[in-house]
Amino acid sequence: MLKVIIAEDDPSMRLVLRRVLDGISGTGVIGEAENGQQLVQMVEELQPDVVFIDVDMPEMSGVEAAREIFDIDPKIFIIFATAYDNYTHEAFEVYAFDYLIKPFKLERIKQTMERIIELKGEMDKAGFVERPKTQPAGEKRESENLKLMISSNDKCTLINVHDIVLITRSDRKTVIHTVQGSFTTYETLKQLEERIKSHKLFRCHKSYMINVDMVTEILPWGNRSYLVKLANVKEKAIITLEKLQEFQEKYCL
Amino acid sequence: MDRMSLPVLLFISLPEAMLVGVIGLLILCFKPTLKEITLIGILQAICSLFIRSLPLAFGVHSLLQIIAFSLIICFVLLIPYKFSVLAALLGLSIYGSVEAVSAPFILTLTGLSLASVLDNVWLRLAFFLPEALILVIIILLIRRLNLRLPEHWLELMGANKFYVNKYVPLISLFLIQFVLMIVFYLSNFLEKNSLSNIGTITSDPFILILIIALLSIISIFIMKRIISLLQDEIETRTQLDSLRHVEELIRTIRMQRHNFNHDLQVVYGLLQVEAFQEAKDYIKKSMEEIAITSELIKTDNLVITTLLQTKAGLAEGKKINFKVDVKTSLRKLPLKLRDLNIILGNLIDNALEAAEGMPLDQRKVEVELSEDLNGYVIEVKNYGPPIKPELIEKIFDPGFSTKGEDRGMGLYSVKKLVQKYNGDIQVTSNSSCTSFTVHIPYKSGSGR
Repeated sequence: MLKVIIAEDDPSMRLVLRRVLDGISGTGVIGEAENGQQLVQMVEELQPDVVFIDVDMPEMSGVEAAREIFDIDPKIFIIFATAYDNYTHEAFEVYAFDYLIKPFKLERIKQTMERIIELKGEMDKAGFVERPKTQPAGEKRESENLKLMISSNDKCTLINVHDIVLITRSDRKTVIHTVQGSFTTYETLKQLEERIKSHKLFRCHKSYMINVDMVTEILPWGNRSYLVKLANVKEKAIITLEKLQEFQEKYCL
Repeated sequence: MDRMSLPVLLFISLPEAMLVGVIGLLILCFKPTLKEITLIGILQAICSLFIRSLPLAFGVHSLLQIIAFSLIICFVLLIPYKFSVLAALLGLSIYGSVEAVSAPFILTLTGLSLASVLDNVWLRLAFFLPEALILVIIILLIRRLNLRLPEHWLELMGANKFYVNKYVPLISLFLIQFVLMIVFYLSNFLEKNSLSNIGTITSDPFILILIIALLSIISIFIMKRIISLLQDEIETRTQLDSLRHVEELIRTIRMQRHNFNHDLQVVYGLLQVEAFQEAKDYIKKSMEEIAITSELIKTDNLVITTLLQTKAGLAEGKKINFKVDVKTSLRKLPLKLRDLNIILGNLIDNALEAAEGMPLDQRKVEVELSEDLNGYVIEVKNYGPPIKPELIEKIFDPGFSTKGEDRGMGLYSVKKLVQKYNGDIQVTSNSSCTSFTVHIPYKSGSGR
């Protein structure tokens, strides 16, 4: 079952959304938040699959809340609802899964949920492709085999840069998925991006960095975003439309 | 007469012209090559030979040489004549200053008479050397300390003819006056210190008077330009101010549309999910809210209503009691809506600002829209501190403000607009309240 949280400051609107969502088979509302802060807290506690966010909310705006949610679990489907066209520009920058502009038809919610159920199945499908890992680039660097040292708690872990398949955010921490397994660090993606500086690693989303050699499949995802399947790991990544264009220019024939 | 000979030409006029040219061009950020500068020097020296052989008084030579110098720079470097004039004037004013100081100083120091120096070519050369040295030092200083116009000024001038046309003539005028003063001084010096066989400009006041008259006329034209520039600026600032009001209105309208869309969404949603009681309650609540606001502000002019609602919202945020009393229909108001928006908007803004500084129970602003025999009356009243009597006359001046820089166009534009409709604006201010009253007469001819 898809777990849904509704964030909306108008109680009547919450009622409407809850009734519509409860009427869709395979989904269930597990929480209702009145403002952005409450929403972020709920997301951390209840681990939902889908979040409906009203952009214009007190305490913390929907856009800010969405940014935080990306930091907690970038795989959560975020759906923005807004009546204020001024905000949409800002809202588009966070690459939510879908945007509902008020007034919208309630069937629209149903369609969106059906698509999410479909995509969720696609994501959970155990598709595991093996592929030889990235070779250090260029003759000179053959002997170099660069290492990335990360410290978590008391110990330091060494990772071969060319073993990295993807780096993502989870629970406000950074997770590095490699051929050998995954490692967690408190360093931000931005810091890692600056430190590694490998042209094989591509920052494709606010919460993702991928090894371009490991990309096996790219399929349409949400509004202006795509799902990236990678070899050697089960984990998948999301790439934004703009970044996909950049990716094509840089790495594709 | 000031005689020219080959050594004088070669060793004095040539390097002199080159140095002066370099100084002027350097300050303006032009970078002439050695070849170009030498060419300028040679041409100027030849010109100088020619001009000095003309039977004219001493000062007139110098003035003709300024013109010749500007033209030579213009043709050698192929730059706009305005810049070449500027470069020539800059160079010459610096050179003139150096000469005006150094020549008398050296004469006193050596005890020689001016006449003897002028007669002996080699003595003259010896006199020129220290001056040249000072000029070289000045050039080095300009380069080292970067005493020139910022690098991008040429691009700025090139991109915008406006600057060239407005500023270059003005600066040139000042420099011409400066150079003239030096020429007069040197002529006077020459007259006093040498045998009276040298005729100078000071002994022939006609040219002097002519030049001064010419300068005055040019000044008047430049002044006229500056005044029109100032008027443009006032106009622009007024327009900016009105733009601010329009933006505010648009924001409010957008906000209202947002709320409306939201309400529509909720009611539709509630009906769709068959929550009929909730839908009824929701509509009832919205209706009550609308009733309250429309009770508060009732005009049959959409723009004024929106404006008043915007201001009411602002006042609420500042905890100011905002009272609107509409006693008449504003449908036939002869004002353009945009103008009315500025008048009312500015008056209310000022009132709100005045009220804001008061203790909570005295924060009150009242707006009254009514009609009398002659036309419409708009009154905006606040209970803030009174305006000092000596300032009342001034508050409508452009740029006058008690609120600091970059403000003060508000009341000026209000007054201008009111006058446009043949109306008038009155201010009364005493310890209890300050009130602005605008009278707008009915459109003449169209009747009631």
